[in-house]
Amino acid sequence: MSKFAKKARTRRQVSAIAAVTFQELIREKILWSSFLFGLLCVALAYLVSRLSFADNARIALDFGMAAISLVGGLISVVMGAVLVAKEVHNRTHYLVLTKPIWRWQFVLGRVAGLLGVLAVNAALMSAILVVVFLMSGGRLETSFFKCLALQVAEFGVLSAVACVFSVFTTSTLAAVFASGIWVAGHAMADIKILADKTEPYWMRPLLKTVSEIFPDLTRFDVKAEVSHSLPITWGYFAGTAAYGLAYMVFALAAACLIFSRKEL
Amino acid sequence: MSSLKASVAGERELSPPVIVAEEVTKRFRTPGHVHFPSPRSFRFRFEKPTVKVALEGVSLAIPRGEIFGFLGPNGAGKTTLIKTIVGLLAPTEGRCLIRDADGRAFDSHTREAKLKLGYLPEQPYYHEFLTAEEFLLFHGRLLGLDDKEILAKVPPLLKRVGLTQARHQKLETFSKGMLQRVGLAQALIHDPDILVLDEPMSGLDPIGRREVREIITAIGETGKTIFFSTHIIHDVEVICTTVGYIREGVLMGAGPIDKLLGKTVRSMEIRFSLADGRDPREVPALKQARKTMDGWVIEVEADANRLEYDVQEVLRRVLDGKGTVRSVVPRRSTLEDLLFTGSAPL
Repeated sequence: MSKFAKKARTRRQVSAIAAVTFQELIREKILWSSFLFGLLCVALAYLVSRLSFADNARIALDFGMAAISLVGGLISVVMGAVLVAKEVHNRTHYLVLTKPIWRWQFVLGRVAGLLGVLAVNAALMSAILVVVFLMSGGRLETSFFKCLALQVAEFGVLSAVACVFSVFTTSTLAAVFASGIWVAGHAMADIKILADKTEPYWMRPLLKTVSEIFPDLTRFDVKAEVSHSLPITWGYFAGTAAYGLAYMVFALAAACLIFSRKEL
Repeated sequence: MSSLKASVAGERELSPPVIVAEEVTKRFRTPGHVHFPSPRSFRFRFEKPTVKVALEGVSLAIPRGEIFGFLGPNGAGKTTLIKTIVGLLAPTEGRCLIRDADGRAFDSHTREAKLKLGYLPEQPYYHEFLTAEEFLLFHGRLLGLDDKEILAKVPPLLKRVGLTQARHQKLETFSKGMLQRVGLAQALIHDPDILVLDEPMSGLDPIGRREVREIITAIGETGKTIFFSTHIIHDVEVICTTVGYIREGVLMGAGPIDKLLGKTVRSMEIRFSLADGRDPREVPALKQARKTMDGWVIEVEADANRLEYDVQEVLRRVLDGKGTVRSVVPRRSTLEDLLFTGSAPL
C-alpha cells in the first residue's frame, strides 16, 4: 500500500470516529440545554439593548459574545471531560480499539467530533447574534469574525485540556480539573502579576510554573476590542491562533500518549 | 506447555495453529488507598498497592478451523486472555501471536493481526443511536473498507445473522439477542479467518442462546477458527471441537472434546419394577434404588472393570424377584463431570 493510500485510510478512520462522536454528542441533553441558554442570552441581549438610551448595538454585542463564550466554554469542559472516559466506562471502545487503528486515532477522532459540535454551536449562536446586532443598528467589521474565530480556538484548547484529564480519570473529576484550568486560564494576567509580587516569597515559583504550564486564555478574549471598535491586528490574530493550535497539539499529544499506555 | 498440538499427538491430524499464546503472564497493579479517619475508625491508614496475577504462564495453540471452547469459572482469567489475544492488553510476560495461512506470525497488537480477527466482547456495548446499517458502516470504515464495499456486504451479513428486517432500525430498540447477533455481524464484516467471542451467549434467554449457537455453528462450518469463551459447559459440548480449561489464571489443559469425553461409559441407569409391588430396597444389591412414577430406578456406578459385573448382578436380582427390566441406559461422561470431579485428562 502506498504512503498516500495509508494516509487516506488513517484520515478515513479518524473521520469515521469523529462522525460517530458528533452524532453521539448532539444527542446530549447538556448540549441542548446550554445551547438554549445561549440563545436565550442572545435574545435577551436584544431586549437589554432596547432598554439602553445609547449604543444599543454595543450592548447587544457584549451580551451576545459573553453568551457564546460562556456556553462554548461550558460545552468544551463538560463534553471534553466525558469524551474518552465515557467510552471507557461504557466499554464501547472495545470494539473500536480491536480494529486496526492506533489509539491516537481514537483520541483525535473523538476530539474532532467535539470540535465539530463546538463549531456548529458557535456558528448557530453567532448567526443569531449577527441578526440581533444588525437589528440593533450595529455594523459588522472584520474584528467581529476574528473574535469569533479566536473564541473557537479557545474552545479547542479547553476541549484538548479536558480530554487529557478524560483519558486517565473519571468524567466528574475531569470536568472539575478542566473547569479549574478554564478559570485559571482566564485569570492568567493576574496570576502572572502575582507570580512576580506575591508574598510569601516561596509562592512565586509555584505561580510562575502555573502561568507557564496552564493555557493563557486571556489571549483569546478580544471581546472588549470588538465592543469598542478597536482593531485586532492580523499579527495578533495569527499569533494567538498559532498559540492555541500549539497548545492543542501539546495537550492532544499528552492525551494520546497517556491513552496509548493505559490498561483497558 | 499444554498446547493442543502436544495434547492430541497421535489422535487426529490438526491444522497448524493460528492463535498462539506463549507463556503469557498478566499482572495488574491495584492502586493503594488512603483511609482517612472517620467516625467508625479514627486511624489514618495507608493500604499498599498490590499486584494481582490474572494469567500465569498460559501457553496455548489453536489449530486452524477448530471451534475452541474456553471454559473457566468467573474471574478465572478468560476475558484477560481474550483481551491479550485481540490486542487490547499487553502481556506482562510472554506473547500472543496470530498466524496467517502462509504461516507468518504477527504480534496480536499489530494491524496485520487485527485484520485477521473478528471480535465480540462480553456483553457488548454499542453506540446505540446508530442503525444496524450505520453500525456496520462505522466498523467497516475502521477496518479500512470502502463504503461501497461495506454497503454491498451489509444485506448478506444481516441475512446471515437473521436481522434483515432490522437494517434501518436503531440499535437502542434491539433486544439482547439481536444486539448479540449484530455484534457477530460486525465481527464478520471483513471476513476474518479467526473469530474471538467472549461469552457470546451470556445473558440471553433460551431462544436467543439457541439462535446465537446456530449462527456460531454455521460460521464454524465455513472453516473459520472460532475461539469462544464461556462458563456454560453445555454450550461447549454442543458447539466446540476442542476445549481448554482455565482456573485462577492457570491453564489446566486443552484438547479435543471427543478425546476428553471419550467413549467410556461412566454409569448405567436401570429402570425396573418388581412383582407384587415389592420394595427392592430390601434386596442387598438394590439398596440404592429410587421410586419413580412407573417403578424403580437404580444408577450403577463403578470403574470400567467392575461396571459390567455390577450391572449383571442388579439385573439378576431383579429377574430373581420376578421383576421386569424396563430399560438399561448407559451414561457417558460429560464435560461437567470431567471438569468438576477433576478427572479430566487436562
